[in-house]
Amino acid sequence: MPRSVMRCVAILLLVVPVATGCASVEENPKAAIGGLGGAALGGLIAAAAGGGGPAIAGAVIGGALLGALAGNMLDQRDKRMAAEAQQRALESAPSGKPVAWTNPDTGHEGTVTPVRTYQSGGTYCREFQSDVIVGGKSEKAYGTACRQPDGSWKIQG
Amino acid sequence: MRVIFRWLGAAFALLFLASAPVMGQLGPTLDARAWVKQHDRNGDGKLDREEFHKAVVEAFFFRDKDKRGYLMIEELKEASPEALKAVRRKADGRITLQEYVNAMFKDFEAADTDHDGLLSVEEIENYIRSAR
Repeated sequence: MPRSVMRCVAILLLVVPVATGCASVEENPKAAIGGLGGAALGGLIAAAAGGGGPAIAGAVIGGALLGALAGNMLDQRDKRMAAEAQQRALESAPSGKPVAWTNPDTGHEGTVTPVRTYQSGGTYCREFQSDVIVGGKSEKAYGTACRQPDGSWKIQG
Repeated sequence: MRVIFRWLGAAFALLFLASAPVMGQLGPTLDARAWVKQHDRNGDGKLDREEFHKAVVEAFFFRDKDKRGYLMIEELKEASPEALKAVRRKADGRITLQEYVNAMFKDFEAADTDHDGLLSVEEIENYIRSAR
């Protein structure tokens, strides 16, 4: 194996955890995988182009940062779509009626279903069930949100 | 022309949404069968007191357009006889959730003619007819 590639792999092993904010695969798989892929690609391109140590290191760091950022952006879009569905469900869906969201980029999808409505100290609160399907696997969560004066819903607890 | 159709579409959608809360009442235009089906959690075809309570609280939530936590008389269009009586008794013309629930349970007791603690579609339809 050429020395430049070995150097690239070593730098990659050092830099990726830092560039991805130490995101574990379990915690944030897209950021971790994106960071790793970006770093590897950046480093290999620099090595193949005949770059020296500093050039490879720079490419690895840059690639890792870009990859992690791309991973996080997709996650954030999932989260944003789920939050918007949650807002719609809590504000206007009757109990038992699910409001769905789908992110065509990731294939992730989910529903938010209000379960019960009540008042607490003059404030409206609703219990809800959230279902998220990632990679064909369904995850359920339950929560309570109370309506704020500005019309937003704040998750309790 | 397309803009006019779009506006007409939006107007019909708004009208449909505006009529949705009426489904949650024992008012004169209630579709009893649909209402029972919507709130019948245990699937016995009737509403028990707990199911009825949940349905009433939710109806209050959707009637309260400004989400002030109380209803004004103008928000009680097509409401049940007891809810209307309750708000007319109030000097400030507003009804709280607790007052609304109490009024609606008077309707429940009046509609539950066989006194089994459950409201059937027929009992609700009979009660609506008698209240007209």
